[in-house]
Amino acid sequence: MLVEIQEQLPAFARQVGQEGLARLLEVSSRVGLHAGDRLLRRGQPTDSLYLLVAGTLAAQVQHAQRTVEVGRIGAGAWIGEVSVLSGQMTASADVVAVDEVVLLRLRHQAFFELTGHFNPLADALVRMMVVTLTARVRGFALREIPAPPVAPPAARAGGVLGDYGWLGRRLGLRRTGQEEV
Amino acid sequence: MELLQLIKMSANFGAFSETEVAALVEAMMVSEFAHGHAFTRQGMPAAALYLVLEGAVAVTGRDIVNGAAYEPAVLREGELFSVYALLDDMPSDVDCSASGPVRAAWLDRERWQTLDARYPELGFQFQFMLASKLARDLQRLNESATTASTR
Repeated sequence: MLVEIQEQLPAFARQVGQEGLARLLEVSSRVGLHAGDRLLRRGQPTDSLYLLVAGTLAAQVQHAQRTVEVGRIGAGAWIGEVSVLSGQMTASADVVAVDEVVLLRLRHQAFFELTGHFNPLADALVRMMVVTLTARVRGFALREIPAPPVAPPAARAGGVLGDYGWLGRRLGLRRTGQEEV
Repeated sequence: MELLQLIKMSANFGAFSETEVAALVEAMMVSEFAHGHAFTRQGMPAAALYLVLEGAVAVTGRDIVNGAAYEPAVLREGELFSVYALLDDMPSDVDCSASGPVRAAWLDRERWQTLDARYPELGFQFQFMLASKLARDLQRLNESATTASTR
C-alpha cells in the first residue's frame, strides 16, 4: 500500500512524509471496490473517512425515483471528511465505484486519536483538509447572495434533472481531488 | 474579563502550555468598538479574528443558497468569531456588528501566520478549528443546495 500511495499520489506522499505515511498506514486499512460497488449511502451513518488512492467514484442522489449523478471524485480526494469534521457522521450522497477503486479507510476513532494532539501527520492531514474545504466553501461564498424568497421558484426549462453540473457544484463535489489542492 | 484569563478558560486553547498561551496573548491586540461597528460583512473578507472580552456582538446573515435569513444570534464574553479571516481573501459567512460598546481581542492574518510558524501546536489547533467550521458550513450549504435542487 505504501508503494501504491507513493506512485498514485506523489504530492500527498511528499506532503505527509515517509514517517507520516507509515503512521497513516498503521492506523488505516485498504479497501478495494469493483465498478458498481457502493461505498456510502446518503443519510446513513458513517464510521470512517477515506482517501481515494486509485480509480473513480461517482456521487449520486436520488430524485423523483431516479438516480442522479452529481459529481465524479478522483484520486487524491478525501471522502467523508465533512461528515467527521462537522460532527454530522452521516453521508451526504450515495457514493459508488465507477471502475476499480482503491481506498485507504481511516475509522473516525483513529482519526480523532490521530488529531487529538499535535503531530506532524495530523497537522499535514488537517491542513490539506482546510485547503480543500476552503475551496468548496468559497465556491458557495463567492456567489451573489440571493434575495429572500418571496414565491416558490418556477421550474426552469429542462428541469433540474439535466442540470447535474449545477447540483454538483452546490453539493461541493469535486471532479478530482487533485485539482483543488 | 481579561484576555489571559479567557484564553485559559477557553475549550479551544485551554490545553496549551504557558508559553503558547503567553504567545497568543502577546499576538492579540485589544480594542474598544462602538455600537454598530461592523466586524464582518457577509461576502466580504474580514480584517481579523475576534474574541469578545466585554459586550455583545449581533450575528445576522442569509443563506447563500436560498436567501433565507439565519436565526439572529448574539455572541458574548469568551466567544470567538470571524475565524475565516485567517484564510486568504475568504469571504465572511455572516454579518457581525457591535450591539452596544464592545471590547474585543483580535488577531489578523499576518500576526496569525507568524504565530503559526513559531508555535505549530497553536497553529494546528486553529487549523482544526477552521476545518471543523468549514465542514459544518459546507454540510449546511450542501443541505440547502440539495433541498433547493430537489424541490
